[in-house]
Amino acid sequence: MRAAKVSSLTSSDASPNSDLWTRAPAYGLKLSPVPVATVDTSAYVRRAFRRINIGAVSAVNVQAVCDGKLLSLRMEWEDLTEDAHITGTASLPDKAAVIFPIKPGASVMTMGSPVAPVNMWLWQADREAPFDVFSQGIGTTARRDPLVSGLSAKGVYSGGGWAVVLTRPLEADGIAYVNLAGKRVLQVSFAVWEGSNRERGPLKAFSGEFQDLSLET
Amino acid sequence: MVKKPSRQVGMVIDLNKCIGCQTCSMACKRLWTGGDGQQQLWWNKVNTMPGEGSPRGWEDMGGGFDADPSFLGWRVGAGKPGPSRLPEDDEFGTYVQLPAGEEVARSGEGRRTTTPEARPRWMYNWDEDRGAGVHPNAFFFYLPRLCNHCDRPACLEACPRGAIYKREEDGIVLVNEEKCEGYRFCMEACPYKVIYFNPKENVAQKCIGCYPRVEAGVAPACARSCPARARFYGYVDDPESVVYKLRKWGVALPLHPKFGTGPNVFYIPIMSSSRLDEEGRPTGAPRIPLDYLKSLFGDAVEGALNTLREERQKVKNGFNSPLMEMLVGWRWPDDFFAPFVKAPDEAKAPRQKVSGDAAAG
Repeated sequence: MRAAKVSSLTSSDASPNSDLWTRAPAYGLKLSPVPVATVDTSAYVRRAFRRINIGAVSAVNVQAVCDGKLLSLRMEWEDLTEDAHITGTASLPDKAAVIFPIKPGASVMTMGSPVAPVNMWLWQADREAPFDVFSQGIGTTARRDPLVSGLSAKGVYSGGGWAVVLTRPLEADGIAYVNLAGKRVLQVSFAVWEGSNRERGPLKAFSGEFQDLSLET
Repeated sequence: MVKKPSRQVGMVIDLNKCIGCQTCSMACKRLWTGGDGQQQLWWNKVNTMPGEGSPRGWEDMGGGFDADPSFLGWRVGAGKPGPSRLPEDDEFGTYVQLPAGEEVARSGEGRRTTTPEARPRWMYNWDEDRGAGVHPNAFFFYLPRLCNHCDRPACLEACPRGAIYKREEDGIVLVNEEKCEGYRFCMEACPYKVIYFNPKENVAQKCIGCYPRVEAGVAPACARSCPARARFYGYVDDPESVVYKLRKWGVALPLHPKFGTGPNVFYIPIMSSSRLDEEGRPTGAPRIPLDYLKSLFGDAVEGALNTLREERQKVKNGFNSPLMEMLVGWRWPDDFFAPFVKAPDEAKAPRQKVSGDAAAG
């Protein structure tokens, strides 16, 4: 995958409906359900969901632009049910995320490990602000303040689907937040949770292990 | 699997004394769950049996484990978790802005008795007057329900984030709201369905065993506020505790032991008067079918009821029964809650969310 070079990103560009996105190449990625029965989550989750179809969203369109300082990623997928509010006990929001390895050798399937953590930029339909998530394995995700890293997000629901843009400066501390500065090729993975299908936590669809995303220079 | 705590608190509820007044429910509500987002939370409530309870049909929703830890000890891996589902809001009940009765008091003005947007269709005791059986053998009884602070909490094991823990010092099970991300697997896994969701805070919330009171030597509000004195409280492992003694007598039984979680709330099973025949004469058979009580408390309920009947007969015959003395309880609060016998105002004030502790007893 390739991220288009743009002159300078502004906050209005970070909107999913910005004209900017007509200039960036789009990639259709297939999403697969996380194999719940085999991942390191609770026995209840493994047993209760082994025969339930999770990962309701099977494909996502991905685009990326970079101005040398900011990276903006756009995800678009079909979803006939807009779950934008947590209305009660059985209501779960739609969510989407971009995942980066903080250190080489990290695995998306395990959501990182203590020696190879991952950083997840997490958008939730029920929230204005995204979460900047640090993870050292399934069940260990820690939501960090997006203001520290400068992560922002915007999601728009229309025409039976979501379009979401996540934007963050390339540079970060490289400890809790992935540092992308100075890199020509990034590694990324994508995940989507379909709220209407009761997807949350480890129950999600993802694009598999990390794929290369080249930044145009 | 969770480590066995060094102490474990427990409660015994005498179903023969419960009058279904919901004072326990109100005491809990006023003390802990008066906040925004907590309207649906009834950490303590009294259901009517036979009935669907709350959330509606909870007994058939699944969860728990397929083996009882009280028979297997603390063996790691004993009993596999059973699948379940998230209960829906309308299964818990419709939130009604209280006091609904205020409008009744002003009757004649044609006002509604409930808020227009909340026409109740279900509540924790909606089926109160339904019961079972046919006149003259109809029957029902009350079943107060709260978190069982289980030996093997299904909620705790279900959380992929380890956000639920069992306290080493007293076995109380708590949600760490800092770690909770509102996934609600705990709500599914709990076979008693006594974990609730706070949509405002996006966290699971449950009975906290009144731990700030317990730490100060005060019994939980539901127990202390009971006008019928139906509740006993103490350490399950303290031979001096009334909870221990009632367990030892074999008359205090966990609800649905088949759920496999090892509850620490126990019930004195309901006794019943005789069935009447067509002529209105007692037949000697219990009006509440034994099989129904077995479906709630397991086979042990038969022995428990026999013991209760025998001991009651002793008293009727003019003899002394230590068991009946205990169940009657002559000195309050000592006979009921020792060593948790302090009054709230004798102890340091517990954390309060809504109102004064005096209201909660």
